Amino acid sequence: MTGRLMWLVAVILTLRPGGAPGGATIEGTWNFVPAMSTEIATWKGRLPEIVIAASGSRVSVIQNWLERGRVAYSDTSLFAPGGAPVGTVIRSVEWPDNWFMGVLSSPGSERTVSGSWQAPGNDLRVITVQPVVTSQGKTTVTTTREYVLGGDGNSLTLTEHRSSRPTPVVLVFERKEAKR
Amino acid sequence: MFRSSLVCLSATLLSAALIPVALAAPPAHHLSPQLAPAAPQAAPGIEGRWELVREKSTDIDLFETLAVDIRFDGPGLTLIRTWGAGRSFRDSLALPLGGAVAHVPVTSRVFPSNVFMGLMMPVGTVRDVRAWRPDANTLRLEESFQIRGSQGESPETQTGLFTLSGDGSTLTYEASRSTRTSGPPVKYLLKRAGSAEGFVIRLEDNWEVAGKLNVQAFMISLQGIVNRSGPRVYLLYPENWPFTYVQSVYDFYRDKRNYSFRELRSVEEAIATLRKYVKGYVVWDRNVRSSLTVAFTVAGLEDAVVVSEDMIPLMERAGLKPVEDFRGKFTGWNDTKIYTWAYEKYWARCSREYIIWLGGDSGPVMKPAVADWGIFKKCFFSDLSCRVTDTSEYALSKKLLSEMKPMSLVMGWHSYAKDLEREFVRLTSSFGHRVIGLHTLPNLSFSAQIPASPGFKFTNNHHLKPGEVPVPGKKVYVTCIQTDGMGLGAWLKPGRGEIPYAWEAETNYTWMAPAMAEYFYSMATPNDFMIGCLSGPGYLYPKAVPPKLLKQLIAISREQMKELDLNVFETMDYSEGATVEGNSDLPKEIVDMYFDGMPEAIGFVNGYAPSYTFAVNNGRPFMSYDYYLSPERPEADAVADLQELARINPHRPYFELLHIRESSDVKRVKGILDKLGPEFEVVPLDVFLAMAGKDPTFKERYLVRPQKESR
Repeated sequence: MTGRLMWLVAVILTLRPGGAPGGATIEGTWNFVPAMSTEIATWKGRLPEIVIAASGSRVSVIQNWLERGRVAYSDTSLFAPGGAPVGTVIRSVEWPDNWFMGVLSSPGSERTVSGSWQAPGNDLRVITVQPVVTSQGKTTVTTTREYVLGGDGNSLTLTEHRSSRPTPVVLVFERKEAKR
Repeated sequence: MFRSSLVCLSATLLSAALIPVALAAPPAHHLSPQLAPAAPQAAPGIEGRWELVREKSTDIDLFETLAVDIRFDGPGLTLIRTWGAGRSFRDSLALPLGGAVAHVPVTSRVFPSNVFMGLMMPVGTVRDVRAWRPDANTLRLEESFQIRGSQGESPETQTGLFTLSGDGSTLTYEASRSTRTSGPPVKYLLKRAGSAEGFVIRLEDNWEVAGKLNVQAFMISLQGIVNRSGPRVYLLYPENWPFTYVQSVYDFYRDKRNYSFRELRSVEEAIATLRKYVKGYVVWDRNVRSSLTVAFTVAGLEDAVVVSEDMIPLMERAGLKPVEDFRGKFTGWNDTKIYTWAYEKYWARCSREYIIWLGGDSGPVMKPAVADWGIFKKCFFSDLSCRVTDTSEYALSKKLLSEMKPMSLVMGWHSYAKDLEREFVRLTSSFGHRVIGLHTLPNLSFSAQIPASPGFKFTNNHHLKPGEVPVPGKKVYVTCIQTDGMGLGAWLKPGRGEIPYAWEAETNYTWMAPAMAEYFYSMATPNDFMIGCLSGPGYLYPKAVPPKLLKQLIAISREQMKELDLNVFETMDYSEGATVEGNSDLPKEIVDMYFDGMPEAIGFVNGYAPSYTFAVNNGRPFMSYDYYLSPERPEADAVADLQELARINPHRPYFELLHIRESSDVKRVKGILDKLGPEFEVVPLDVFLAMAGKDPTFKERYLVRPQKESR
């Protein structure tokens, strides 16, 4: 599954229009900057990586969790900005948003994803409605993720608002290419 | 669970009070190797030689110390009080018992208890002394004499009361004088001569193979050998040692159990002092780290200290001869070959009830504190991998474990460089063995021989009367359990006692280190609540244990819990992987084994990180952790996590069970809990479980295995 998605991303990246120098977009691969982010309840040193790609009317946001550089868990959201929510069947029991809370995903249930450009090419809002399982049973969590491109085009700020959480989670990333 | 990133307990034995403890055959209900207290024996009487415990006695100015010798001869008493050691004054009295007056000539002017006061005994005068023995444990003395001060002689009356302690280990000597009517009472505490005497050695914080590991390894091997003859050598590990109690327990033995320690300050002094216990030395090869692991096996079998090449001349000067020399022996060998060689040569003579996994820190560092116990028990040592894909080491690990008696104790820890904790415990569990960690576990050969104080009763801090079931409100109830046992972590750190907190007790301490258990119990505040762990009498994964053995292991835990007054038990199972990417849940048949096997338990807790097995049996809940507080989690984020869990679990009461990594002290945890808001209430674990059992708002959930298709 992960391989197919990676292939899809590779195709999308190949087909996307090239940006002019200074005209960077949110698309690309983004590496996590822990020092500038909310502390994430990480597991075995897993760190997130985000891959964003746009192709035609569709956008894909892939969040990989890397363990020693290897993708240990991958979560893909594929939607048409401004379009209807897209439903997908949950396959994994893992709920990566916080490894140390007693919350599981609910395999076999449907998750919906929708999104919209807040600033075309730069700022993106993604809303996920996901059934989860806790000690008291099944419930639903709605997560709004705001991806905002930094002024230099090389930083990305992800602000997560979960319907269940009193405070947002702010994660900062830098463009993978920027490190080279 | 001890996590790999962590750095996550013979002969006749003498107690501190000289109460004999015998290495007995295991009680039938334990079905495992045990050090069991011998049947109670009559306490020895007041007769004998007694030595002062200075720390607990009135100061004796010039002479500093006091020895008392009491002997009865028919109707007569001989009482000898010797003040001082090198420079001393001996007062020997032969007296009739029953109060008849004995006239004792004064032959010395020394007034021994207070030489620095201007008082003297007038030589040539007579002391009138009378003695009684009101009962077998008491001796009373009354003396009338003249005392001379600067203004001349005056009459003086002195009373001495000698009282034997209930266990016969100490003697209290209370002295009162007619002329001394103010100040604290003059009281001397004495212990039996020659009892509770040991040696202490401070270890440097240098564990490098190429550094001073050779010195530390030598001291640890010496400790294991010498302590076979009794609890004699205690090692003081550095302040940063993972088991944080080393100094505190030392203080406990000294201050509460009246131990006297003489410090040995060097290898030279140690071997010179303790030479008589040692039969030889084994040389390990600094160039082959595993040679030291094998050398520890040899040390136990041959009563040989382990030394590096540069220490040989010192051993020769002490008159010791080599029993093995591994210099160059294993060069170019891998661990499978080394340990196979050791197996073929030594295994037949090694214990089949205890085995040492001397893993943990790897590469250039080794921290082999548990080796004293391995030597003490003549164990086989290795650090073999338990990872299936390490085929040759895994095969040898299996071979060793398969040849141990069922339910043996695997002491030490897995190698951080070779495998994971879960791979190690899964394999040991598959033979029904139980792990007691870590490789850094200190001084067990000493502590194993110190029984709890006579009459000491292990009493847990229960917050409910038997049968009491509090009624929960529409609130969020929070309770905290520290990970990884009492010896690691927050016990001695700030905040303990300020909030209700539960601690994972090592139940094997009932027989393995009873005084250690007393140490913890006697320090506990009303907020400190002990629970049994971990899945059995020792660390094991129940899904991996053969069911027949699991039932027996649970029965052993049940007995140990009774001894320690525990009524909550904790399970954990990573045999199918950790919480996140594996499955730490338990199937109903295993949960029911605990319910059935521990009928006195009021509840069970499960997991390390969050887990998802929940059940209730006749008002007794089996609950998994809903939250793991990592030490790195900032307080504000942890507060949000706990509030989020309360929001995502909307029913009230909500029971939020927290597992706190041991590296978080209680003060930090309190800081988090104080910010949760009015809906939250922190309660003791037993109260928490009783309420959860009464009103279980969690959903019953077990590990359900896919049904196999029938063909």
